[in-house]
Amino acid sequence: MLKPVHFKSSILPYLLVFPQIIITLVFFIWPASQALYQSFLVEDAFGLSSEFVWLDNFTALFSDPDYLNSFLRTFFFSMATASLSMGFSLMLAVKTDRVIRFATPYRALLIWPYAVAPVVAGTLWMFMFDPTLGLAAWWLKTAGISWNHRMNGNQAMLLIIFAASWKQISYNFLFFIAGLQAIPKSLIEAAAIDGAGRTRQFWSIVFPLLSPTTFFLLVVNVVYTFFDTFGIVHAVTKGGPAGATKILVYKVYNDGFIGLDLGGSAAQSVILMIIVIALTIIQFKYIERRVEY
Amino acid sequence: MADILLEDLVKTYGDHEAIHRISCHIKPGEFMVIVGPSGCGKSTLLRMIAGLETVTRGNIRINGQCVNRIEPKDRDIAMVFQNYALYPHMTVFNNMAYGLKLRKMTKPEIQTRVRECADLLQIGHLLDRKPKELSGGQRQRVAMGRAIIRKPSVFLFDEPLSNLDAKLRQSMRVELKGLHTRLKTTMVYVTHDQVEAMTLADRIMVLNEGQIEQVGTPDVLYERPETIFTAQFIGSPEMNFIKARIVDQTLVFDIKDQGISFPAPDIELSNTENLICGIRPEHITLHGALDSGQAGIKGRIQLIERLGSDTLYYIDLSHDRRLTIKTHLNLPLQIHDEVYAGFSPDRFHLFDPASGKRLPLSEKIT
Ligand SMILES: Nc1ncnc2c1ncn2[C@@H]1O[C@H](COP(=O)(O)OP(=O)(O)OP(=O)(O)O)[C@@H](O)[C@H]1O
Ligand SMILES: [Mg+2]
Repeated sequence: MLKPVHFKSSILPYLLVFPQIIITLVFFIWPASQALYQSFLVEDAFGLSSEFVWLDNFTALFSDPDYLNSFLRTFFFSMATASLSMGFSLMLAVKTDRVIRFATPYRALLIWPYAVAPVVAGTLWMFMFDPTLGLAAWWLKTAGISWNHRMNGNQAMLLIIFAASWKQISYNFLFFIAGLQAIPKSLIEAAAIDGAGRTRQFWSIVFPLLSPTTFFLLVVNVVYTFFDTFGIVHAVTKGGPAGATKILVYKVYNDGFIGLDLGGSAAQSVILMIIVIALTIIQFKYIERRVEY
Repeated sequence: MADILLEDLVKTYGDHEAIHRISCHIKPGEFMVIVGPSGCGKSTLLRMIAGLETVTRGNIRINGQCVNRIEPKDRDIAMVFQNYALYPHMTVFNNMAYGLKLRKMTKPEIQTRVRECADLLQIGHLLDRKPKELSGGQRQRVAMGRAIIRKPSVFLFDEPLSNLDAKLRQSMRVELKGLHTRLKTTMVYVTHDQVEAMTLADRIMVLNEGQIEQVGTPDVLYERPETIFTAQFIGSPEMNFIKARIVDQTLVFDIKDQGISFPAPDIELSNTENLICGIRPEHITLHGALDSGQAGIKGRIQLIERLGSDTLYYIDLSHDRRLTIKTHLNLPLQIHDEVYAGFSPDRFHLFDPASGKRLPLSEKIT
């Protein structure tokens, strides 16, 4: 329950939110509006002049097979990462919930990956799977699998999926643990008496009751894969090989700063922004509707 | 119908012993109520029978079979939880059908069973609702339905009525008793409410700090409590306890300045100086004045509670002693009036305060 707080002075509350407003304005509203503005412009090759072209940048994007490809790739990447990460976290959470219901030190350890910056996470995985230096790559080789994510697009995709999932596991885990602990123990006991085994209890009682958490995490994870995975891709594959891992957020950077197509890049980021806003709205609607049973 | 045998049952949590060597035989078809104050281990004991808690030592036998290592679902029991534990995401129908589905019953069979059971509990019109759309009493019925639908051989209840208001609790109590007469299934019922215990039980087990104080029919517990604890716990309002001693074959109440004595038989007691005499409030009479030859203790009315049929008088004796008197007579008395309490010695319960046990003597007082 949120408690309303009443301030005596009328300035204090504004002062308190002032830093946050400044941060939002400088780091979000201003760049976002710039991006929106840029997306309507076409700059000449030398960056000397620009021309207002309305939606030309957008129509160009949607007729560009490269962009549509990237869209599909991102979709796949997003779904794979979200399911892998959430599935694994849920498994961990269920095990933890069962075995050590209140052991916080263990849980504290599990949160560490979340504190790791995406670039660092990416670098970590890149080194592990480095075709010449990496330990994991060497294991795979001894197991008869030749690993080279610099050449093999599928392997590159797999690697960034792993890296991105790994970083998100702890976050998902914490929410799942909280969700699990909110389920009254007596429900599980009632199911046990009713004749359900462990697996059955999970799928018919726990999982449905966890669905608000699951849905919330799904949206968060999709937003994460759409928006926050730039660092990982940049550190691990740089979008390669041959664009196999060029997901939308990386393409924005690539087209804008490498390809110097500012207008097109801006249009892409506007589309990304719309996707995230849409997801957030769905999120809020849904959460409001079924916040409790 | 099944019988339950508890043999030297012990449960420890870490080094805290919640249940100490409990032995009891619950007969087939019996309605056994486990009663006791909060934290005495009632739920723990019930959950051990259900298989939700492991047994530290001792045995639980259901129908002769030791179930210590048998899963709850294979014990042929059903349980009603205090918070009902209805599956919130399922309709009432599915809540009731869940256990049947897991037992691989066919659809039409399930349909008829749910119908039957819903009619029995008058919840037929609620079958499509989710638990959150039900009132407390309706949830209670659904929880009951979910238990009886499987036709188990033992029902376990953990304070099932404690979340209901007084009136509903009363009517559910009657219904529950009716249900038991109809189903004739063995029931073990946990409550901390002695009225529930007295009205529902065939036999009552009084539990105190993980130990059995007494097991017996409501009548026996009321008429012949074996310990001070049972005497205090059973009966409402609580029994009065007065310090007493035996001098020259008379029982003397230890109330300063007030000589009152009753004949006591000549029985060897190691300790005659320090006894406790228990008297139920309904076994004391109240008088505005004493007739000649009548013995009584003088006091002042401190508080009067009129319950309709009965009236409770709280009497202040000298030196911080109090008596509660319950009578159905309508006496023309008011607060602060001086009154006399009269006693009939055949209703006395004598206890040894050291052991807390009933003294055999008490039957022999004439
Ligand atoms: N899981 C547990 N771990 C440790 N101690 C426990 C556990 N469950 C119960 N206890 C302890 O065992 C004792 C008996 O608890 P129990 O729940 O059986 O009491 P109760 O008689 O049902 O009380 P109430 O009327 O309040 O429900 C209490 O002292 C309690 O603290
Ligand atoms: Mg309890």
